[in-house]
Amino acid sequence: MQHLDEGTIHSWLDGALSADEAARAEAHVAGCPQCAAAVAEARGLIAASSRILTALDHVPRGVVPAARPVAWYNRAAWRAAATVLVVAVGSLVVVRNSERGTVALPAKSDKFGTAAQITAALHGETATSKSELASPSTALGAHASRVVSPSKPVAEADLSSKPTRAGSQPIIVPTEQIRDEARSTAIGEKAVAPSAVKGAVTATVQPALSSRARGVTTLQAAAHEEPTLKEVGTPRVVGAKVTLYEVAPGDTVTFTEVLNLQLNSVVVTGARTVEPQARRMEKSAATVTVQAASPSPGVPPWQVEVANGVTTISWPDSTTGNMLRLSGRMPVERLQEIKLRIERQRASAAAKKRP
Amino acid sequence: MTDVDRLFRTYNAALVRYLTRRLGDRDWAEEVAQETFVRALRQTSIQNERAWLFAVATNLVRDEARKDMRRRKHLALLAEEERETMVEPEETTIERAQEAAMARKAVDALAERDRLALLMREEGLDYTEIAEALELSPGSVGTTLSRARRRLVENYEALQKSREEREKNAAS
Repeated sequence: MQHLDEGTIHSWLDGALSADEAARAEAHVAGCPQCAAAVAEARGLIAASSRILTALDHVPRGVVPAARPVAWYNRAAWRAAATVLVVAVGSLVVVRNSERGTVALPAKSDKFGTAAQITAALHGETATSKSELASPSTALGAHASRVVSPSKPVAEADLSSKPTRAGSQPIIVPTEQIRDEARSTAIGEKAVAPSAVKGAVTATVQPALSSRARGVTTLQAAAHEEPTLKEVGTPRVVGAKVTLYEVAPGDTVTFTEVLNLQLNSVVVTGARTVEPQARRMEKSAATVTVQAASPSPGVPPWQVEVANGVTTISWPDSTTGNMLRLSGRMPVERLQEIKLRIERQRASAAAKKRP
Repeated sequence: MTDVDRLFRTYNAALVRYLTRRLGDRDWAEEVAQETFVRALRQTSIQNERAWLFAVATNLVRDEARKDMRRRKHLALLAEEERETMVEPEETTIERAQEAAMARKAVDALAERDRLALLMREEGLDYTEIAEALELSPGSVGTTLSRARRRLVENYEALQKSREEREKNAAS
């Protein structure tokens, strides 16, 4: 039999030969190395051409290359989400920094004036609601428990009652307005539900608060009753180092060390946009006071402020120059004493760090 | 009419792919495929459905393709040149695009009959169907296909080689 021609080989490989012809071809290839090589080559050609034709499918529409698909991170939705995230994180930073006292900066604006009024009014109401609880110290403890909770580090504002601006008188605003404000403050922050805020405004007994108080009582029972100052929490706050000391069972003071961060410009820009959140923080606080944190010229070495039963001492740290604040629900004398103890404790801790 | 539904469901995918490969344009391919099925509607009886459909589609393309071919070829060349001058970090995408362009070139360089036979075979048409659709003698399909495959692979390899040389020159 003569050698298989290329057409026959392809026909055979394509299954187009009759059974008879296929058998003959197979028999020949088995004994003919030359045709066996041709068959092998034909197989390669079939596979290769098939592959090449498949490559044609890579340009599905038109000869003009299609526009590259937009990367997932570049789509409008993701961009928007990223923007929101940036704003949200920025807001958080700003809100936390507002603790430093930059809240005072927009004080001249009408908006802020309203905020101050509301917070002041709220404060009064909150105090009322607290009086319905067992004791002021329990109420304070309730706030402390909130501060300790890591999910609400912002609540640090609860205890760090800052010195009041001179001459700022609480002005009660209509409840309706407060509610509106409360609603707006709840936007973007699920920490405080509008209804909860409303409850605070109307000075009804808050089950949530009392339950929290109960939780604190349990905590207190478990805690050691030692005379030394015990750190019960260090809420993380940007721009300040906050430590909660338990001076007696259920009696806590907040010690705030304002760090000299270079975030002033950021804070100023953002403060207005995040005002509702800032307001919310203050509303939830037991005391509502506003003060510029950094020691400005003319500020005495240390100040004492008493607002709604919470005493606050602030003084600049002699070594670091940072502003220190200590606040608690107790007389100035006792706070002074605690201040000394904290300073001693800090000094010894610093000495330990630097052997 | 359900018969046309069946025809469409059975053959549309293969026909569109065949036409896309043939034309290098999916939209155009879909148009031609639809027109092919419309013509099938008017047909009282079709002996070998697949062969008939591919033959009609091929004929539909032929007239229009003659008009369009030169223009499209020119565009394809321009597009490929542009792609070659681009330095993109996206290796896989550009790689694929280049492969597709080379495949296009290699396929376009084939004789029309060889090309069509090959594309039909790729869609699963047997030798009888290809012979019928292209009005060839059944005995010549094997020869046609073997020639088409060999030339296609040779064309492609030549293009690949020249590209590699270009890249080498560009690198040095």
